Amino acid sequence: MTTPDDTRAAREHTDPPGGHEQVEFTMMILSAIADVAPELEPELADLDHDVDFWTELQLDSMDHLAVVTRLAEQSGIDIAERDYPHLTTIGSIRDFLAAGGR
Amino acid sequence: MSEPAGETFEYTLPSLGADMDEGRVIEWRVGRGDTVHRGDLVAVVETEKSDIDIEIWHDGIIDEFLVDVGELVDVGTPIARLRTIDGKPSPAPTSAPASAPAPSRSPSEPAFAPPISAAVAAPVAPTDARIPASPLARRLAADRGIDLAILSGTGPGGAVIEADVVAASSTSVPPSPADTAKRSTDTAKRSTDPMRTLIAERMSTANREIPHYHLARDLDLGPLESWLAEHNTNRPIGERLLPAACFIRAVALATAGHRELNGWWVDDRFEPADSVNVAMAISLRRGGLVTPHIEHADERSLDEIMGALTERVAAARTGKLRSSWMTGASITITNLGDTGADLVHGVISPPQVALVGFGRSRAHPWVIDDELVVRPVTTATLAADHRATDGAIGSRFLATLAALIDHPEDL
Repeated sequence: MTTPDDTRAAREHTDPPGGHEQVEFTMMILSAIADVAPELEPELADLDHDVDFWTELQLDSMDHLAVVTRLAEQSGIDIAERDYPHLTTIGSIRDFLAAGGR
Repeated sequence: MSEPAGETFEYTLPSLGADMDEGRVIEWRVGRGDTVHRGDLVAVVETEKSDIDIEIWHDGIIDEFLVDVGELVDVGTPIARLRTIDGKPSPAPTSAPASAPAPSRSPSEPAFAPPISAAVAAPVAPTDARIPASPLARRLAADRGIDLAILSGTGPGGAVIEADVVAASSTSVPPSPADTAKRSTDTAKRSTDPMRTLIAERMSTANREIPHYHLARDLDLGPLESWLAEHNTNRPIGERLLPAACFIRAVALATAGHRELNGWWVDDRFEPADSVNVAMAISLRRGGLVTPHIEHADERSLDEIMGALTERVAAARTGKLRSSWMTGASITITNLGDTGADLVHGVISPPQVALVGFGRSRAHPWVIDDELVVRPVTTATLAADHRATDGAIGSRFLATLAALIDHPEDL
């Protein structure tokens, strides 16, 4: 059983040094995954931010679309299909969003 | 009970799948006195598979709820009484939406009855000698060794419900701790994985009764993938299409052209469906799968299919399926997705007569104009009921499907 505090601690621990904004984007990504796949929420705290989480969490193309849709809505940043292959880890998506979608 | 003057009618618990025979209302979405219209969501029903939003099939005004929230009742049990709206006729069974044929093979398989097949206030008392009781009451009574016949039921139509059994057992013999322990073990055993049990029963029936034949055909996804990439460029995320939507559309069109595969095997004969209602198998992360369908899929555009697919997948995975999606499917698709196996030799979902499968898209050698090239390829398969069709029809179906997938711009 993880508490919100544990989750935060785990996240801060694995986050590379970065600004406040990066932490916010990380939170946004994790909550988008949790919205689409509520059953996976307990696993998110321990998720390595440098692995391909789509594969790791066995998310399919419908989940992928749902997560990406949420991220685009919340960040206001368009995520083109040609960017998908690079956006496989929490870290890469966070950097992509922090850079304004470039 | 006075004869209903065509002014009140009962809404019965609909069957939400061929394998459902009971359910419990866990939430009413309407209140007494509310006016409801055909298609409105009136309640959330917990089934062994999922929580499902059930729809009403006739306009009316809610008069009374006939079951308690949380009470487990059989399919067909009246759960609410309604009054017709002034000037409108009371519903006849024919007002039920087009659905799979009602005949069922056994009492435990009452599925595919039109959602309000028994909606006109029929006498609630059973015509057979069976004592009316809820399944839970039955099990409790059996556990506690109580004869249902000696109980006076307080449920709808005098049916014995859980509370009656509990009341009877507490006035006669208080349950011993051992009884209680046994009951909770039973409950635990039943609820370990009810969906697994249902799938097991369903698939065993399919394998026992349906003489399957299996066909496969490789499809070059090159044209589809390039067309999709171009189509999706510069489109906002909400308007992008996935290959799955194209597969559903193509299967719907191919099925419309091969109606022998579109329907149900019932009472030793093929019953064609009037519309092409394509179900898709959606796997659930907690295990198991559900198969909601898209009605009239052959008459919907790709964008509409994509929308319907997105809606159903989200609903399936958050446990909010609608009742109208769960009955009346005339053919099913199983799509293994990008990470799955190369092909599937499917098991048909009875009483349907065909199941179409798509394996993952993989880079594969392919010959075009005598040149060997590498293309994205998927293997489409058809599992069909040999009682209803022969391999020639199945082959033609797959050929049609291949031609459709070859020309995505026409989908």
